[in-house]
Amino acid sequence: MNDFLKGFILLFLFLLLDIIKPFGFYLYIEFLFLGIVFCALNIDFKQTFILAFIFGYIKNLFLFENIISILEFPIIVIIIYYFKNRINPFLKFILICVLILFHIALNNIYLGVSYFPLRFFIQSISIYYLFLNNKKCLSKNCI
Amino acid sequence: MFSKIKPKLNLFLFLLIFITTISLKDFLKDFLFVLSKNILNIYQEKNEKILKLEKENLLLSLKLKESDYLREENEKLKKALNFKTNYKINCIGAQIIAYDPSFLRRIIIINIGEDKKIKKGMYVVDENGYLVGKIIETKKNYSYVSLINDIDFNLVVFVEEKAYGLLHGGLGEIKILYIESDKNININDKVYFKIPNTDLIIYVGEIKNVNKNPQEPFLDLNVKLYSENVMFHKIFILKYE
Repeated sequence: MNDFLKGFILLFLFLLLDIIKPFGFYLYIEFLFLGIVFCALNIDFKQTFILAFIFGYIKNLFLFENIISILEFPIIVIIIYYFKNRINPFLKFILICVLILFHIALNNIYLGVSYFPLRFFIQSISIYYLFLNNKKCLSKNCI
Repeated sequence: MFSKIKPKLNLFLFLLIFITTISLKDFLKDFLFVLSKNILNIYQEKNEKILKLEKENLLLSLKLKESDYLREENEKLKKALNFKTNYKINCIGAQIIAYDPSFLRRIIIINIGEDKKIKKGMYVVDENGYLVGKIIETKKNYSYVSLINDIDFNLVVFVEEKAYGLLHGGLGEIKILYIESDKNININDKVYFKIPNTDLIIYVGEIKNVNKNPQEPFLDLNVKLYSENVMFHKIFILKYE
């Protein structure tokens, strides 16, 4: 199975998790957003860019007011692609934090609110480093 | 399949498909929601009797609350209600099929829509009759419900009989705005609203905190909701004429 297909399946599962929300509103994170970050760090740029575009579009279908995921996700992929090969693990952590802040800021601006969800920030980083900070997530056993 | 042709061509083809299939959006939406609905229908038959009983129970409990309120206020309202109040109220059970994926919104998608005569603005309650949210958009087979703690949720509510203000949702604290500082609002005062053109009272929650700032003309009121989380609850849409 090539990386594109693996990434597609992974992101599709994450999208389902975001829509079904098995943990209700207790878990604040957006799995799809983390999935895009993960794919951008581990899969070839062009493939991830297409995936980001596809899933940005699908995510918009489920949003009550269309948010700019269709633009946001490809931008995230471009940012990660630019920094990917120049950073050490600590800077990678900083990059992920910045991307989460970027996501929060963009949503705030779009919805016209000023709210910093600390729970979203902490949970997103925790989930990423607990489950996704490993290229083995793309192995056959995981998908 | 993508690896066998040039990547630039892949992108171009994808963009072409995307641009030329604008109706794809509606198709995908309908397909996904109908799929969810069909999966739910497998369990629906089993739950039908339970739902029917719960619906009757809810209607009775709502009527009981209404009676309690009317008993207390009967004398005062007798003069005011010199006219007949002809209204019909009913409710319909619904199931949550999806959530809005955005972390900033508290919007749910339910499995009934215009086909069951659901209209925008109808109120949604839980099995105890407490307010959960209201319908903000309806489609043929599904509807969007804005929960009380959504950032765009607003509703005129009463605090006991002392004052009325605007209940404003939000991810943090739920607040009641525009209640003057001279009103005697206390902690645990009940917050409710009346359905227009009826005497039906729907409880929302109770006052959690009252902060008075001498420099501000309005009180800072936080509300504790009676229906904290809809995750494990069934919901009902109130239909009234």
